[in-house]
Amino acid sequence: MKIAATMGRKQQDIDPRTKLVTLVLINVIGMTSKSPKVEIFSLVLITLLLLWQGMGKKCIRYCIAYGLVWAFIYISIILPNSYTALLAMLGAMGRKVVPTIMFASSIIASTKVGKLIAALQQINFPRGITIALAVGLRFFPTLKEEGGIVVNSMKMRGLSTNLISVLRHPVLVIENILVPIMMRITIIADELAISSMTRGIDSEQKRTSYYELKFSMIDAFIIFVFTSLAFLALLGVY
Amino acid sequence: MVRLLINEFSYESTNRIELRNIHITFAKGSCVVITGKSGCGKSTLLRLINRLIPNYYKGTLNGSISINGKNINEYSNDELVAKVGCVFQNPSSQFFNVDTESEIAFGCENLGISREKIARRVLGTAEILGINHLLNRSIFSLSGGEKQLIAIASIYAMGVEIFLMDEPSANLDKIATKQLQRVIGILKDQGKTVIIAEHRLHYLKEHVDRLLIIEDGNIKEDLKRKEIISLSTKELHAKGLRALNLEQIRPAEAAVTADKSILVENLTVGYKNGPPVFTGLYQCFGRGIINGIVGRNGCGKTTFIKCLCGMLKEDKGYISISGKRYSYKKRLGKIYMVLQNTTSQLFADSVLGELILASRTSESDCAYSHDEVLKMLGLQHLEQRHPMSLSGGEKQRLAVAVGIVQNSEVIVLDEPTSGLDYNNMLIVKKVLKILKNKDKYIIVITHDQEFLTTVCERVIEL
Repeated sequence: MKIAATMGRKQQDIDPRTKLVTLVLINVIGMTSKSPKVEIFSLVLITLLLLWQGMGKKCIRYCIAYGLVWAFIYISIILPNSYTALLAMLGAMGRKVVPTIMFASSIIASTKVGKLIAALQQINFPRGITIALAVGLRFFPTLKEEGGIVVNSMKMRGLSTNLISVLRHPVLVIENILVPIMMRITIIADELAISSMTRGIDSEQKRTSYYELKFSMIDAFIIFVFTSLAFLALLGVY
Repeated sequence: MVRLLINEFSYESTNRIELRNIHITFAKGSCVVITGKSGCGKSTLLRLINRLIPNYYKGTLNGSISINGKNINEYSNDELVAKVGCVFQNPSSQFFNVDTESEIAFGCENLGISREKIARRVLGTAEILGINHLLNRSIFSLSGGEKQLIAIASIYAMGVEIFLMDEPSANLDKIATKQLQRVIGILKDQGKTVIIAEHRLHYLKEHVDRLLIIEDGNIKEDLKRKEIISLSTKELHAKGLRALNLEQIRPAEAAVTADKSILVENLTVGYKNGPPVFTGLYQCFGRGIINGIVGRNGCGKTTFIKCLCGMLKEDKGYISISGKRYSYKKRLGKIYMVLQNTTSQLFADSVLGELILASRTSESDCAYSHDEVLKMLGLQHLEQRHPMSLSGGEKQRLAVAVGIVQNSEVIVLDEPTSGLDYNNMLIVKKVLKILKNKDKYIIVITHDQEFLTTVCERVIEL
């Protein structure tokens, strides 16, 4: 449903290839940097990028999450013992992952599957992997929908799905949710496979694309900025 | 022109002879409807024409199928795909893309058609099928009927000559079915051959040129347009088929008294960060009668039912059952819904286990033992089976059984007859009668016009 919301209004969009490269760069920055300064700078850049693309709400949500992670780390440092040391480590991990998740979720929300396929085709990605990835992206909303139905029908049958029962009978709750979802997904996957075969998904022709991709100056600029930051992180210069 | 010369066909998995002695030719530009009871082999026939057998389903065919005088085995995959297109029953599981234009273009992209040509075809298709207003939309914002139109558009854009449709109306409401009917007319005008396997016949009356009735894999009857039109509802029902003409008479409005009703007063419901889906709704449903709810896809039926079942909090207004008001939390569990896909609501590892789980979670005891309930619904021989291994109809009856054991006063059924033939529709009718005898509140959401006019005793339009 989020996709529906973002697609309706006109928005600035960048080339899907730029998004993929940037995602890799953000990962590199997060994993290699030894300085929080670089990481925070990277988060600021991502925030600016998303704001420009009109995803303000997402920015707020993730920035708050990032702030909480920092607060968590500080609290663990103030109360030093062997438990909090472990927690601090967890916090540090979260600190490095939040920007990546933030950007990845923005990719999912803002990229038309058709454009993503076009991008991957142009960089000569194998057809099988491209299609699998496209279907995967399309599957998230379906999974969410199916999951919602199952959880609702559990409630209707008096099977509680709240945190307490999850903690008390984790296996049972997971089984109750997973089995019906898996069954539904197998059916959907089957139907999807059949539909795709009747529309030539296994054709030997080189696939074309409805969308024309244009690599603009803005794309070049974005990649330049994140590459520079990745170098800073790698070299440890700040 | 499609020519079928099937002496015998059987699936590898069952080894039962599925089709036999089907020797028939479909003329170019004609609309052929194939009907028959569930499992009679209609879908198998379609799968042979688009080569899903043997490409996806394995089986042995003694015979041959040819299109335009050429055996389909001599066509390459790409050639066949560009000649024969398919529309399936479930509109939401035949899409790859998240937006409509990409979806219409999808088949053309696969075949390696150039970008300029695809762009022209996407626009041309939308123009001809009259769906310009659906371009550049998110698939998730479309109704079931609109999704089916996009599915048709996406194969039309590939330049397909033969359209195969497998129960395309199963999930569509009245208006969406009308849209489908219109598009089938356009396809015919364009000289396309349309072959439809379907239970619901009424919407095809205008365009059908030939009706094949299949029974146990044989062509039992092969009727021309003239003969089809003259069939009476009685004759069709005797053959186990759905009606062609729907009686226009509304069912008598059963009387409802306040102490024996669910009253919805001034109800306003909406989702977080959104405008209300409906405001100030007044409705009432009677006890011991079959209440039918109709309304367009997207009119708020689902939202209303979610709220009624207590899964969604009302913003304003009250819902009272038998004269007593219940908050949304109290309604949860008191009102039980049988979903369209019952797979999502069965959790135990056996049929009996499902009922045991139901009586464990219910607040009050059911007057019937598990055995009695299973017998009531004709499930006694399936006691030890895993719910997921049951057929669609059996799962549906099990879900109803859970509602009875759970002792829910109100039982809501969501599209219980979607994709059912006449005989199975009668079984659903029988199940509803059982619930009626138990003096339950029965609310049925349905698009099925025939079911609505023959079974429901009160019709509520949302």
